[in-house]
Amino acid sequence: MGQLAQLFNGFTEFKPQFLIMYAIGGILIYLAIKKEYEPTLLLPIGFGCIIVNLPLRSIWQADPLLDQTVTDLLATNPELTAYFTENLHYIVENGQAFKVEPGLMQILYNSGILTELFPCLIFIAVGAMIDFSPLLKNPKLIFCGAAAQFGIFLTILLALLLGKVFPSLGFDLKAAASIGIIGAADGPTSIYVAARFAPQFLGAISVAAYSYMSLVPIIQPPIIKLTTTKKERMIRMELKEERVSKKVLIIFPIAITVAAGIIAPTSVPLVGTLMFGNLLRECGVLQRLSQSAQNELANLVTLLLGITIGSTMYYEQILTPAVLLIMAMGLLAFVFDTAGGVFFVKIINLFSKKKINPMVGAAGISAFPMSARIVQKMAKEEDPENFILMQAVSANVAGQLGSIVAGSMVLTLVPMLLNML
Amino acid sequence: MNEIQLGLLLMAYGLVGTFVALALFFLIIKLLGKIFPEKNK
Repeated sequence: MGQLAQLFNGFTEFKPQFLIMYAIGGILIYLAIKKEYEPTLLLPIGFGCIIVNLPLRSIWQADPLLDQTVTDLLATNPELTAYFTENLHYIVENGQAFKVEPGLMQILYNSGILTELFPCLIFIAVGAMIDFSPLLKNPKLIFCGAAAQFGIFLTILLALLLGKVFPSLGFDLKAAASIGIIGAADGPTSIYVAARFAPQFLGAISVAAYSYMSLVPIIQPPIIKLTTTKKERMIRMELKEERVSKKVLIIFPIAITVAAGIIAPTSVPLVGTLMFGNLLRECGVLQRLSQSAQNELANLVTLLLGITIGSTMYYEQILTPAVLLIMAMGLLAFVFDTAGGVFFVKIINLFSKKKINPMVGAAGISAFPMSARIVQKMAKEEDPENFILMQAVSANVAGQLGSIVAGSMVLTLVPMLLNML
Repeated sequence: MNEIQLGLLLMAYGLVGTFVALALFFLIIKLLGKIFPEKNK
């Protein structure tokens, strides 16, 4: 009878919380299809969220199998229990050892997310898509890309404060850093940092990062209007671009990789893969590889990345107050990024004869190219003859570099600071 | 030292570090532009 009852495991193991997760997954899929909010990520994440919240979670792990040999071994050598449970996929219940083989999604998670492989492969693709020439022609605007990372660090602080007031949230320095990195407005960087420091929040952080990136056209304009005056938004900027040779475009990714690797060795996986992709694009002799990186590689890895991240959204990890706060703080990170960029330019304008339109500072966020387009659109609304798109694009491209550098700073500094505790 | 203080340190070093790194990239861009100028056609 007991074995017959196993035929109905799907019903007996069904939990009411699964229904909430189906709704969440459904909302993500709806946003992806109907509203076209980052469909390449939100749809796989939404489906992954549904598929992992099914009885027995078979997509994540196989059924536990009793292993009598290991049970007998642990009975005589209980000190080996931790080794078996942490390294060999065993669980021990009531003195019995059960082997739990990883399922499809756990295999992808262990090999693609925990190893940081997927984010780095995506960065090769992103690097192949980026054109750094607007930044190389307007190098001064690189600092807008730095200023617009302000939201990352302020959000880390806010998360720590919340963690202090409500210790049950589990917002220690590592978790706070993973939450703050949503403000990088860069999916692979967010995934890279979260997988390293707070894998328990990876699903929520990824959904927040990609959702808010697609909502930049809604998030940024009110913040820009709140932090600037009409007169400031009407500032015109002279387009005086420096000329850039082909050699510079080719040497730039190599030089940046070496420089970043010397300043912050932990940044090499991120910066190096981004710049490798860019070198494929700019060298001029590897069109096939560049096209493969931009298309096949990007599509394949994105597909696997999305569904794998979605499969980390088991209801026990998602239906917590911490996740709601993460979503809220992710939004704040974007808000502070925008404000940080704007105020940085305002400060520069105090000391500069040639004024920069403060909205260009807001374009220093890594959401390329949406942020630049939003800034140009807002400038045109105030003055139909104001054209600051090229300057906004320069700042936007700088944001790509700024977000990776900021992420690398977090990766380097957090372990160092924790040693001081 | 508590975690809030560490957070403030992270904010300070993180922002300064980001600016310093991008300032270095700025110098690299300027240097590359000087060494390999665009040829006039």
